[in-house]
Amino acid sequence: MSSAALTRIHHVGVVVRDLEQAYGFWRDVLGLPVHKVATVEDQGVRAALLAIGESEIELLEPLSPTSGIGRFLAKRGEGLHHICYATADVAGALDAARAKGVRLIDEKPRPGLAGTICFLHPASTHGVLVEYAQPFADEAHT
Amino acid sequence: MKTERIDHVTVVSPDAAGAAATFSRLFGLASAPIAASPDAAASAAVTIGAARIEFRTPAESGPLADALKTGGEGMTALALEVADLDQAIQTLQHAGIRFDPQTMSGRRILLVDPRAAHGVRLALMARR
Repeated sequence: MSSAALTRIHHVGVVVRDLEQAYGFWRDVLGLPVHKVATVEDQGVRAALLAIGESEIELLEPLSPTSGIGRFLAKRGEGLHHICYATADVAGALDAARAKGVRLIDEKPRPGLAGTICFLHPASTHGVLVEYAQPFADEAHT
Repeated sequence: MKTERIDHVTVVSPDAAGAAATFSRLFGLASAPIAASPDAAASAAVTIGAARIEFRTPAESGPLADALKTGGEGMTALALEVADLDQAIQTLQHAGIRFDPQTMSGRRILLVDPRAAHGVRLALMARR
């Protein structure tokens, strides 16, 4: 298997209005432990990763109504936002997607909450927003 | 509640087979067996790690048809496997969360009120 292979769902992203309030369901009712929380200023988002098996649920709260997540919330309300696959080689995986003609959001991998990440454009993937993540070396989840 | 893994993500599409083929080709994912669903006219699936991505083309009417109409093609539901479904029922009842118990391909599932699950159409499933 090539190191750029997509091996598992790293996380499923869910847009929520309020992170603290969302913990009331995802952490307290479903029992998913909060693994990591961070504010990503340049993305206009406060995000939490909650562990589930080999994957995570990522809760995304917009920092402002004009951020990408804020606009999603205004237009579609709370709900499923994207799916992220784990890979050991995000640059290789992105090159492979480019070679297959996939429209990209990120031309180059960049640091994100889940590791080094990039997004593909949903126009190429049946309306599904897809992210690739190469977890940081010290944070291997499985 | 002990929630153990993502069982599957559901993608609603006017062309379930074509969407699954696209995901196989672009992402190198193997196709997987999938049971028919009463509200789907066509179904296909791919495997990724311990989870699957399911693609459903809606029947003429039903929740899937509504999802395609209102949200367009894309992710529409999330299914999580729990260790003990009876305990999950108790936890939801205790939290005052509504749910709809159903059986899908012989497997007990709980459809959780999306308002409680922050807009997510969420199914909790017993272990296979």
